[in-house]
Amino acid sequence: MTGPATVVKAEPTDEILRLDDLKVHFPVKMPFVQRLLQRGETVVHAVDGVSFGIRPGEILGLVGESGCGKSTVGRACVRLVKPTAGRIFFDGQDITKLGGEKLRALRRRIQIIFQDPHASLNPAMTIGKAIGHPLRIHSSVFGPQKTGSEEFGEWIRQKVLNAMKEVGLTPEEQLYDKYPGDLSGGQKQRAVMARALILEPNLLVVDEGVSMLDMSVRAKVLELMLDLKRRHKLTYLFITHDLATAKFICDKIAIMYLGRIVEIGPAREIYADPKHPYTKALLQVIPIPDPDRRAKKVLPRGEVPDAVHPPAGCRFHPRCPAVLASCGWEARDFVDFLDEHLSDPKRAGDDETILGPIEDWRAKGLVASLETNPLKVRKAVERTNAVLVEAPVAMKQAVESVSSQNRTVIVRFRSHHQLLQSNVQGRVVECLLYQ
Amino acid sequence: MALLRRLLFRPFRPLVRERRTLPGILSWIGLGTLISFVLIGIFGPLLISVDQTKPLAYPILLSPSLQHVMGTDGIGRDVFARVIWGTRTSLEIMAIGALLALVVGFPLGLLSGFVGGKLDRLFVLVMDSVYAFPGLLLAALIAAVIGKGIFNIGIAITVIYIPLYFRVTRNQTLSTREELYVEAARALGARSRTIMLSYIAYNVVIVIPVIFSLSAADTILTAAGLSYLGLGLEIDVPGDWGRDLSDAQRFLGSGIWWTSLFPGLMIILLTVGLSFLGEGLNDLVNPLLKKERA
Ligand SMILES: Nc1ncnc2c1ncn2[C@@H]1O[C@H](COP(=O)(O)OP(=O)(O)OP(=O)(O)O)[C@@H](O)[C@H]1O
Ligand code: SF4
Ligand SMILES: [Mg+2]
Repeated sequence: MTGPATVVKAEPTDEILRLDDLKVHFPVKMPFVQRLLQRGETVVHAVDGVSFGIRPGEILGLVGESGCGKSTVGRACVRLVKPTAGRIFFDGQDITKLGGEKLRALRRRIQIIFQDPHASLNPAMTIGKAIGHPLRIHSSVFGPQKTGSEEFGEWIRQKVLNAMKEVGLTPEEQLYDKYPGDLSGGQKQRAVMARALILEPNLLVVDEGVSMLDMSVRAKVLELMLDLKRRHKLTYLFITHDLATAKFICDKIAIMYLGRIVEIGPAREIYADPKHPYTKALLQVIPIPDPDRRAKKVLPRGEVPDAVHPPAGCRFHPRCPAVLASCGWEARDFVDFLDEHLSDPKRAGDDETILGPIEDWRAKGLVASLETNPLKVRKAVERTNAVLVEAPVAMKQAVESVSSQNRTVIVRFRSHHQLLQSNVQGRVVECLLYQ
Repeated sequence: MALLRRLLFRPFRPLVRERRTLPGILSWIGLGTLISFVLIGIFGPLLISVDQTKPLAYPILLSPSLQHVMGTDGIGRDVFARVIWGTRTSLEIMAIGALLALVVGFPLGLLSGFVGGKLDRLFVLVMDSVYAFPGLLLAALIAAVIGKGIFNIGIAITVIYIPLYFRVTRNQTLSTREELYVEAARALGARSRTIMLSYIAYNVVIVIPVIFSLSAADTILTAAGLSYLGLGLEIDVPGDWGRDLSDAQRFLGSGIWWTSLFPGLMIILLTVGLSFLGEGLNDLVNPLLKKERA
């Protein structure tokens, strides 16, 4: 079985940021006993092979549903989480493993803004102090001034007041000594932006930077971001789950699904004519089939989430409306389908007695099997074939054989095609339809 | 120094901001009581001669009169003078005990929670074993080993309260460490030391006055208890509420109430005042913690 491969390779360009097959896996927290029983490592594949580049002055939107790994990409770019594999280049320099003072120096040039401006601000620090703090943190690079000196303090104060004015946090003299608790959401996000900008970074990662703001405030903050970009020659990695926001602000869009980018290209073209079935679904050209079923599967943290065992082949195949037989069908898709079939009493009939209970089915890679008694096994094969008739066409086609061995029913799937990225009308799409 | 100053003032912000609420009023009453006692403890002994606290200074067991407003005790000491000098003694023990516990427990808790790992596990183990000991027994044991005297009693009591400071500080540190603003500080390039002091300590220190007040109240009682058991201060200390109370006990049966009442009242007033302060601050700080995070 081969996983999705990446063809887009890093090459020296004028890009300011380049991710090259970035992977971030988190260990799954589980009880000690379970960890002993489980063989091999169990990880959340939060980001599983992401590559893209951003040119200076560009705004790249990273869009996708909750939990697909957007924030993790953003956090990896600013080195708040450790990449498991792959490489990150900033301004031509490999920053994947940077540490110590070099990492601190890098942080002057890449900044991140989080979704929740309130939680991003230290409740015990006044606004003015918070905005000026980066300057104190990096005081050594701003000349020989002693951190405690009056002069330096005054210099910082002036810079902070200017920054506050620039992001529209006025009247700045009054707000300077206020605490975050005294400010509105929009004001807090402006303060966070002022804090991020005061070091004059080149790249700004904005992780859902406006999602928590009211609609009226949101538009203003977005305008401000565009304005700041022009004035400071900024580059943005703009993370959002909101397609309308992304459309408004982004030059390029990357659509993410379960740890991978499925389509990336110029925003205008993708919005006008999405190619990947998932992008189409997101843009509601095609509704996602039965989204409720999926929603229920989003497990709370601590339990094993979906990204622990991402689907084989194309990760979107269990939900894809355009799915082909070669997209990655595997045993557990069949078991899921059978489960659904059996739980509908109208359709199931007496299938439950022959093929159930569903827990008895084993799904391992391409092979689903059910151990039953020798008398029932032939009947079970028959029923399995009958049930498959009702299965989605692509799944049906992907089944290589339904057979029996002694007292075991075996459903075997064909192996899927290798998924590659293809260039389609100015963008990169990861979908077999375009291969 | 500026950092230290801000660390010191930070916990009292809610006291000013919330002064009109019930917990605010309670805290202010407690604080008022504490300040009165401190003033008595500082200035009282300057006004009242230490000679009045010595045995056979006066006839024994005089009932309260204009000359001896609280009467005299079984060995001819002026009860009022003893009570005033005892205030100083109690405050000294409290200051030594609670402050030392704070000075040791707070940084250890902060470090343990922030650094985590093996260091944390070791600290927790040690602190838990100390904590598991009954307080008075432990203090009595230490007092028996290192000897009597105000400072030694202070130390003996400190040992009981260090784990308390440690635990509360550590728990608060653990939850603060996960805050987004700490991650944001890291993204800004802040060093661990800066993060610990400027971002975490500030938000942890807010719980300190609560523990301070509550443990100080407890300190007074423990010190009195030790003295009551005869394990406390030397016999010639010019004022010792616990011992005076214990000595007075045998006269209670013969209707001599003043030798017990006044030292007892002092203990009750001070501990109740401190508890008011502690509980009031607790009510102020907890919603504040929630609100600041909300
Ligand atoms: N520190 C962590 N430890 C373990 N798992 C994590 C951690 N951070 C994220 N994950 C998991 O990684 C996956 C991707 O998370 P991420 O926050 O990147 O998603 P997202 O696209 O930003 O979602 P959202 O829109 O909800 O913010 C999720 O399954 C999440 O549970
Ligand atoms: S490869 Fe394309 S067609 Fe196949 S499942 Fe994925 S998105 Fe759908
Ligand atoms: Mg996110």
